[in-house]
Amino acid sequence: MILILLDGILSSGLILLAFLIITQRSSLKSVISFFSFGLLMSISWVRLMAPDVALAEAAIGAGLTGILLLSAAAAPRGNGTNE
Amino acid sequence: MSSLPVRPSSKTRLWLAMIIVIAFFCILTSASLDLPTEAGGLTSEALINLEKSGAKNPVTAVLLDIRLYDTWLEMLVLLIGAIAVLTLIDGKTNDSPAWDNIALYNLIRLLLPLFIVVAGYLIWLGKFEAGGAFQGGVVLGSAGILFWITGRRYTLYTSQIALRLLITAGTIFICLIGLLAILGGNNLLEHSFRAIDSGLLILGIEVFTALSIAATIALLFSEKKELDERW
Repeated sequence: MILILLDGILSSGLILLAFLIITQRSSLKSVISFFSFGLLMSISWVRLMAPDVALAEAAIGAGLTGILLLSAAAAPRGNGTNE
Repeated sequence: MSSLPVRPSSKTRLWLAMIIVIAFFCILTSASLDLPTEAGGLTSEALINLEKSGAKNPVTAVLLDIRLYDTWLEMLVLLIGAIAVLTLIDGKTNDSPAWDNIALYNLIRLLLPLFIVVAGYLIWLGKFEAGGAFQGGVVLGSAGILFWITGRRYTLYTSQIALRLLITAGTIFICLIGLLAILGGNNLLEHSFRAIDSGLLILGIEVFTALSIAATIALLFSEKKELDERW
């Protein structure tokens, strides 16, 4: 019962976050939603009994891609000053 | 997009995107309904060959022995990505790093050894459990990114030859194994290293691919930042 509830929260959370990623007005908020999406995604992989994919998702999907997107999102707003 | 002569209104584009997404969703769903419900995939083959492959984890056995060719091509894709990034920069930029953030620097100075140890552990763990070259490599590459964030422009002091060797290490190592297999009379990378100590070779592949992945990731971020600073 608890596990079904967890799966329901995970899958609905994934859809909600995916919606947030594409509809968010500020790209910074989009990227942060993307981070959370990757985190939920890796928990989902654990639930699907694929810990290898979960590790790769957490490291590459959420971490690395998120950092690259974050630096890209921050770049045009620099106006000459850094960060 | 903006170079198009007539730019469709945002509403049209939204509808277009929605139709494409729904169509793609339907195709994916129907395709996944066609799949057999009890497909074993490579599981049985991996478990049968587990003893011989030198890895105790079936996923690692598939990635680094049974489907080493796929892993090799993945490394080539990463290498092509790294080359594409390298062509975007010409020469080195000035080194005027931001040295001022002491708290960040000290935090990352504490974290870096931990990252390196965790990366090594993940690479080693790939033989037995979930883990391996990709995960360990990414952790090691993230250490490079963190070091970059402190403002230490370490790529300025890295020899370019060493950098290129690091990026290509995994590809070259797997290529050498394939060549050895051909010399031994087998097909390229087809269960290629049964004759030799396969456990040691698996570890070798893990270490070299992880180094390549880490170097590529660190390069992706650092060169991108250099690009940002130049513009």
